[in-house]
Amino acid sequence: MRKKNWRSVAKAETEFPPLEMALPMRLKGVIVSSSPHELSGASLSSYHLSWGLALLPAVAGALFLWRLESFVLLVAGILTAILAEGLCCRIRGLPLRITNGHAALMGCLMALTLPSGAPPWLACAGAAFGILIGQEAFGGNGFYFLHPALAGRLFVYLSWPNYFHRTPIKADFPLTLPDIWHGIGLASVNDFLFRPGHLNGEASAALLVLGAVFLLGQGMKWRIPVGALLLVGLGTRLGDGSHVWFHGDIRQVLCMPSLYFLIVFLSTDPLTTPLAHGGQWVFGLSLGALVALLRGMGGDPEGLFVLPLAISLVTPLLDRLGDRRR
Amino acid sequence: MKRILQGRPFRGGIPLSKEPAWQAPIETVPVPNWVVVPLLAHDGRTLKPAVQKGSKVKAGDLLAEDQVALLAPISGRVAAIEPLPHLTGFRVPSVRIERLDEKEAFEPTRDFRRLGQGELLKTVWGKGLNLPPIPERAVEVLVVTGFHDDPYSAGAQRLVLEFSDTIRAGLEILQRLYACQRVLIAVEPRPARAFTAWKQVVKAMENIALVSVSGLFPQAEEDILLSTILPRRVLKDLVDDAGCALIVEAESIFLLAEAMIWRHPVLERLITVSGSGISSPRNLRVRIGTPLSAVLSFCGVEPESLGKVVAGDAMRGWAQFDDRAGIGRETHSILLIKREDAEILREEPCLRCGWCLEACPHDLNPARLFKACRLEDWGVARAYGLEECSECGACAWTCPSHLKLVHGFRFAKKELEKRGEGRDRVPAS
Repeated sequence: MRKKNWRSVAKAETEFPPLEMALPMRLKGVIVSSSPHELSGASLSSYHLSWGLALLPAVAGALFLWRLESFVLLVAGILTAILAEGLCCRIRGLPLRITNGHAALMGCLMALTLPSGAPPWLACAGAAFGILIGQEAFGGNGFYFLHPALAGRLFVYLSWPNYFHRTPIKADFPLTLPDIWHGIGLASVNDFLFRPGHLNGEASAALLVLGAVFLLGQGMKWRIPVGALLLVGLGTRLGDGSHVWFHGDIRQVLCMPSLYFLIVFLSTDPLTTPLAHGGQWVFGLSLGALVALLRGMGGDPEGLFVLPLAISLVTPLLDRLGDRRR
Repeated sequence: MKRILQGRPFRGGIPLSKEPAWQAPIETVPVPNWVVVPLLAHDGRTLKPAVQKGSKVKAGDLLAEDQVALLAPISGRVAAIEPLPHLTGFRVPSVRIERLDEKEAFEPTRDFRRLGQGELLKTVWGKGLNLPPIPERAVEVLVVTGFHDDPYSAGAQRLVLEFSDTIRAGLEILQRLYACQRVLIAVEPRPARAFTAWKQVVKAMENIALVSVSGLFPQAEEDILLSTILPRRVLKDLVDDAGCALIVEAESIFLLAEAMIWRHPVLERLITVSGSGISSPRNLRVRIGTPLSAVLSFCGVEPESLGKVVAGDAMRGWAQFDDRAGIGRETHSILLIKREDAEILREEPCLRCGWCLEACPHDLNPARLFKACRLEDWGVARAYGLEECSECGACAWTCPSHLKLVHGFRFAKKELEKRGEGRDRVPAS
């Protein structure tokens, strides 16, 4: 009985009464529908595929640096996410949505936000929580209000924090720029290219920026990372190291892979961010401000990953900023 | 004076891939056995017929009085005056004329060079030309749309390639008719051959310039076209309601010249038939009111192989279910989609990706608007500018969730209309 109910709700949501028709069909078997009669060809699968392609450089970097550890984490995260979503679709009597790639993307993001060398069951636990509670409990893809991967990560972080505070596996690119670059004051370029962070997805800032540039061409909400980058830069620059709140070297900050991972890949999930352009700016700027603040004042850098979740809670309010209400 | 100006960019818009329909030469479809002419004025009013059932008409005879005369497109007998199938899917009061084999002869026009402006006007309207009425104010700029923003029409490009002399003559008559200070022709830089042909046309003329436009859909929409190509001073006058600018289609110019020089009344319409349902696109001159079935059989297309027949372009056209409907006075293309390619994609939940906001040329929030329409929350829908939506379809085109946004907006407008709150809608063909 319950199953049937859900199905009928889903149907009522998606169908309008047909436009008025006065005549029997003379052209046999043609489709009569409202314009437009041609679509761009974009679909949910292509949308999620472009995200997957944007993550590809980061995944490749992780596999190169951490090899098997990273591979097992990724497979565990992706498989669990797909299974969890499939299970929910089954229970709710909906068609399987594996082909649109959303679950796989979330599992992949989940695995990338874990520290390198974390046990694979951590990825399973995070992905399962993220999909079951973060996503499907609120209606599945299209209806959740917290980023499933971040919700899953928050869950595993709060439950097993010790895995996050262990020293990560030591790994470095066996590559450096020749010394001549250091001589001309471009040492930070080396950091930008070849300094991994401690998370799985943070093999190199350059690889993440590569993915971000690709996403930019795919119509991502660019106002969020740009706004965040502005305020992170400003926050780091303001005090010039003298004030306890804003310290650090801007070059050092811009070379951190975690910055790009956070403000591009984890904060621009379309569903949990505002639609209105004004709201996107506020989202990005407040994210940047909080990142700068937390870097200066916070005790635990892991707190950074809660920020997009926290701001997405006020997305409905941010949607009213710069809204096109007449 | 500069000959080629650059158009300004406009907000939103989508890049549609253009079909090479402009390469197909213009062919003339033989006179059909019967035609259907809807008794509709250009603003959607129903007209009173000037003929009776059973009476004989000659091609070019008046069927009904309108601002623009409604003419009989073929010689024959009036078989019926009753509600008949129309391209919009409704039954509309129409005149059905059955052909009798008679020689078509047209009353010659006096040499247009000797006619005064008033007489010229009377002649123009008597010929059934679809031109805007002459405004009280002096026309500062007359805009000619020499391009199509949708991929499945190629009339403007084709005409200038084949009949550039006629177009030039038409422009000269137009300048005299409206006594306009300046003519701007909006042209796309692609295809390059058509662009060169336009350059040739305006080369030796006075007070005329080409404006190169991006051709993003929906640039041919009236207010978008004006805001992108008019000089800022004229645009400001328009906004202050002090100036005057008119838009004329390239085809109207061609027909104007034809009516004035070769003395034909307007009986034909240039349409582009294209899409996956036809082996190669074709540009056809057909009698107004020719039923779709006659066009299909001229193109050699089996109706059974088609999955969708669209009168109009891919973005705004009407899907057809009755091949007895006749080509209208405004139809510029027919899109045929073969059965394998025609499908209705399942709607997925909105991802809030924001692509529709980027695509909307009217600065609306289609995603939010659609949600309001779906919940039948009419107050919110109107607050978000439902009535400013021109149903161009850019949002639905770009949507990765295949939401039927335009369908939703139409439904909402109709609901509002039923309650007497909406703006009156004009059925277009």
